[in-house]
Amino acid sequence: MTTLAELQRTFHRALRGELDPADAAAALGADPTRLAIYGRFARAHVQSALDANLPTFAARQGDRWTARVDAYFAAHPPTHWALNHAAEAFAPYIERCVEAGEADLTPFDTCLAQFEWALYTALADPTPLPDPAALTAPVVNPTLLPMSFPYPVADVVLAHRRGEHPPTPEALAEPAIVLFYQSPTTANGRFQKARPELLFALKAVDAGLDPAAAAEVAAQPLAAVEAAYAAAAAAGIIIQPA
Amino acid sequence: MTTPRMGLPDLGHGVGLRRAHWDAIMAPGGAEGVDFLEILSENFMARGGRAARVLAEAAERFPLVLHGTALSIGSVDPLDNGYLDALAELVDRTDPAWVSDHLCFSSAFGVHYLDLMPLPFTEESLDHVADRVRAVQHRLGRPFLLENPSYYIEFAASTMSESDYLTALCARADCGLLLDVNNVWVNARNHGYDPYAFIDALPADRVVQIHLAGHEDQGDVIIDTHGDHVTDPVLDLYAHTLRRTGPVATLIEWDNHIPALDVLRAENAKARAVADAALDRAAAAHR
Repeated sequence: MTTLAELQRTFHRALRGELDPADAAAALGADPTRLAIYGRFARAHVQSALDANLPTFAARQGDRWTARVDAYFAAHPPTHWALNHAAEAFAPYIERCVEAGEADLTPFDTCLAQFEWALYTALADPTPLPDPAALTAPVVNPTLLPMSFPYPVADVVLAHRRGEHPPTPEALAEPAIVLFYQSPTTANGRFQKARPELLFALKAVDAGLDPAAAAEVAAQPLAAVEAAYAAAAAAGIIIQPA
Repeated sequence: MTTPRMGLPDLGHGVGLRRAHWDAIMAPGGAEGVDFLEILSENFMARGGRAARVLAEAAERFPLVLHGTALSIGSVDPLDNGYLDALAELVDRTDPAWVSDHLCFSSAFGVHYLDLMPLPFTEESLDHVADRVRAVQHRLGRPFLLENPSYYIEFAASTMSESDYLTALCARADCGLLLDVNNVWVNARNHGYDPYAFIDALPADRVVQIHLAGHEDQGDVIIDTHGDHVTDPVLDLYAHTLRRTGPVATLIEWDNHIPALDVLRAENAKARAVADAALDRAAAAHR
């Protein structure tokens, strides 16, 4: 008699492509055509997670995307119960593919995959956003995730959102910092290219400085510091008391 | 047991809370005809941001029930404590009337398939699932329902019928049944049995919730797609079911090619009309 463990092992090996479908179906006493339905379902869920979380990457792959999803699905079966997490290993996978010299991938593609996964990470962050009415001093948005990229990835992502399809960009002279976070007003995921005044306000608030103290420490005009705080608050990178 | 629905309430007619409808259903008048919401547990577990805000608002405005796909109650892997912790936290946040998942395994040997894999109907799997259902009910402190899934293969290892298995499982685990009437119809067509006889063989007093959904006839097989209107034969089977169970909370599932909320509400109203006719509620209201 087939035990539950034996049955699930056979099913698992069939889904993972480790066992010939006809052999698996025979072992289970099941119809091979019907058994194949489950393999298609499992792959389709991974594709939907990748499509949802890496839309720019998928768009830039074009006709190569399906083959890329197949290769990823074979190499990285989901190990987490959440559908979106099926895409979690994609950026490290692309990085390894690039390092292995796969012809249709570049270091920019690794950065793009990292960028799009970072945006998901920020929007799903379970850390509660503080209520401005309960604050007595500005705080850094607790969902903030700063990342540094050697390519202008944010510009490429924004271009795709406008319906453009820019070529793969050259590396930047200096890495670009991008800030990923949840909007304090809508709680949706956002990203923002870091600008000097935003980074200044971020560091000052993180150090617990009010505008006057920050102006004194930085030897900056108070008005300029207040403008930096206001810009950071408007972007949602810091949260000001109501 | 003879108490209908295991003593749990008839929540009326509800829909699943889907991202596509977050704004519409919270808008004034948007929830007209929607008595309760079903939350797909995994979409909100360990999740902040907009999802958490919408869920908090939904919990204030609607009776909620939680419905999962990833508990993997039939897996030979141990129950995932991280998953159960996140589910318990969601239960605390939402105060659902009950929690449900599917009679299946959705993970094994460390891999999550993100889908519902069928179980053999054997004494061994029955004992295995019943033990785990009791553990989950104890962990969550809520009534727990198992849904009969659609399945596309039958195992040679099975030694009992699905209806006998479900009946025994509900008794051994002391759990409820989330009866997916569309799944019954799909399975009956795919495996060649009488869906009415199947319904008649189930313990009616264990049916706490009903799912209705659309399916796709692909010729050689019918797929439970949750991507279309509920068909008339499924509504007929639903009416037959209600005549056995009495009123039961009923939910329209629509997860693919999700239409505008108005379409979903119309589907909900159609189900309500079928239920009213089956239960003779409309006639009773005029007496």
